[in-house]
Amino acid sequence: MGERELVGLAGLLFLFILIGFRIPVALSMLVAGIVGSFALSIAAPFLKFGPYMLQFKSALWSNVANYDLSVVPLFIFMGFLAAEAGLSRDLFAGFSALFGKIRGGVAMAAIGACAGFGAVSGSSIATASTMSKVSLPELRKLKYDDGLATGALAAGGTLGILIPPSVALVIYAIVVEGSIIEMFQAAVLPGLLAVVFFIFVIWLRVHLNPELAPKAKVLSKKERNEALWRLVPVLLIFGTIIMGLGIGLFTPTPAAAMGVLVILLYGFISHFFSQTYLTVQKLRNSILSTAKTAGMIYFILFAADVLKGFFARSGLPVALTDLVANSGFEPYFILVLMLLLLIVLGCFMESLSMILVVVPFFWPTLIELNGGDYVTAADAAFGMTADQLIIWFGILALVVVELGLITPPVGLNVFVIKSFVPDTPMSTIFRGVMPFFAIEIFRITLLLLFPALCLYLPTYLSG
Amino acid sequence: MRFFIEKCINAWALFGGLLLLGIVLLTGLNVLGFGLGRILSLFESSFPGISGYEDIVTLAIGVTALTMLPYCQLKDGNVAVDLFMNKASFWVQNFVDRITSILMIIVVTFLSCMLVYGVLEVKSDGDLTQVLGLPIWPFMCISIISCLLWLAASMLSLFPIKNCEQNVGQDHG
Repeated sequence: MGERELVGLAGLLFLFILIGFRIPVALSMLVAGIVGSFALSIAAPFLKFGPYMLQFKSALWSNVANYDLSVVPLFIFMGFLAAEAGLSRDLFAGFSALFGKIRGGVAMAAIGACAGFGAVSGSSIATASTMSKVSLPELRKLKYDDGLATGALAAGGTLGILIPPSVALVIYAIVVEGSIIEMFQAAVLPGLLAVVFFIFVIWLRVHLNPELAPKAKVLSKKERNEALWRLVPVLLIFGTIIMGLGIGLFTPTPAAAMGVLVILLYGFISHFFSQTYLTVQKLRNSILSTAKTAGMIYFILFAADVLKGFFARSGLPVALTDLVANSGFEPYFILVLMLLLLIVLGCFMESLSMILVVVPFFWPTLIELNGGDYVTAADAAFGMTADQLIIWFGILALVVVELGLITPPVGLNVFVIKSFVPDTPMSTIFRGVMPFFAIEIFRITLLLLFPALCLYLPTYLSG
Repeated sequence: MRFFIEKCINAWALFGGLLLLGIVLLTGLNVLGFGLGRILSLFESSFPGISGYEDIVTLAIGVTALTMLPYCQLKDGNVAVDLFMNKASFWVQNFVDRITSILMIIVVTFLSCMLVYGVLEVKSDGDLTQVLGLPIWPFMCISIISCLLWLAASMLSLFPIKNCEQNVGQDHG
């Protein structure tokens, strides 16, 4: 490693120190990028600092005025609108009416509702928090075991990051210059697998210990029909967006905008019939919530771009790639190490910043290990082309980031759930999460062993 | 003064929301246009989508995104990682928070100044959008207001007061 690369490494260390001191991640990235570039100009005088600083004249604007990124605030807006318009409530009520008769069925309904809401919200923490608000009171009223109820919601919340359309998938695709639509298609089967596995865990736990989930009261025919009737438009809205994206009918920005439009119309029209849907005040709340979340994401995206520029100038990603590629370790061993690092980081860091900081380092290394950009599947170390590796690694990375959200003792989703049930001990929630954690490890192993689970749908749909 | 700034930032975020709704409506019309175009093509007729749709969305989203940054700053929405600081003494936490605010003020001041230079440069270069040929600089100009409000929000975070949300209503984030 030369002097430039060492400055890059010091910049990385400086970044983690800043983050460790609770300085916002975006600000830490920006400061590390600018200070690092200054240090670089001293270590390597040909990398002049003045011209570097002049790029900031247009950097902020060109970063945000980006058609591809217009999908981000629109999807976030769609998620907040769906919550404010009562769609999350209708989802849960509808699934409860469908599965409520089964022992443990209300917890299974919560998983189904998490998957449905996760599709529009695109964020795990938002999914966990919204669905907890909707379903935890009901689960507690029905005397479900606290561990089972909170564990199911913490695990169900993680579906938000993977079930398409997800903001994290969009950002990943932009970082690695892959196709957003193909990423969405690839996430469908692993996402559905998670739903099936989570429901299986609930069934198994309740089967082994029926006291965990008392039988729910039987709904009257009228109540049941009403809940199911309300579920239909919600499923139609969510289904159209997901299917439209999946089969390539919409590109992401029109899909998100149409999703917002349909939810707005549905919410306002429904409000005339039942006073519990969308009002102007709720629309205002959705806009402000969107501003808070989208503002955070845009700042991180801009800061990540500055940081990426610094690392590229330092040559650190190339040096690390050479180091790892020449280490003599098996490619699969290195991939597993990367995933383990993502799990550890996922316990502490917000998923988006993690993708933006870590993936630019991992990505060139994986490409190099696989045999380069133009390698054929037959000659590649991972048995797939670079384009397929983008998809497979992206899904694997997001799944392990999800796992970080429920990993004891620091999983972020668990803390979100805890805020809704302050009287439930943390140990009870983590005890409830553990079976889901175990099945997640099994799912990751499956995805590692059978890349076709991620690659089949994009390959099939692209003909 | 604080109350006034917070009101302005709130209103600016809502303005961004209105722009977002504008994008939604425009997209609805565009999709409708495409749909009609597909149907009419069966009868050897045509109906165009909105010309320069991507140009308009790109400019509008640029302005919208920047209107959101001050509100995010005001509501302390930037994610931070609490690894060990929560165990530090109040004095240390307070000190680090002040340093964070000062860093934020420096960074936002720098970005605002550079944006002003950027606007002047884009105006003198006569940069236009690709399809519609709209000048870009007026949209960047609007974003200077966002940067100034972002700076104001950063300054407010240097002097936190308890229950300041009461002044502007609920925190919706």
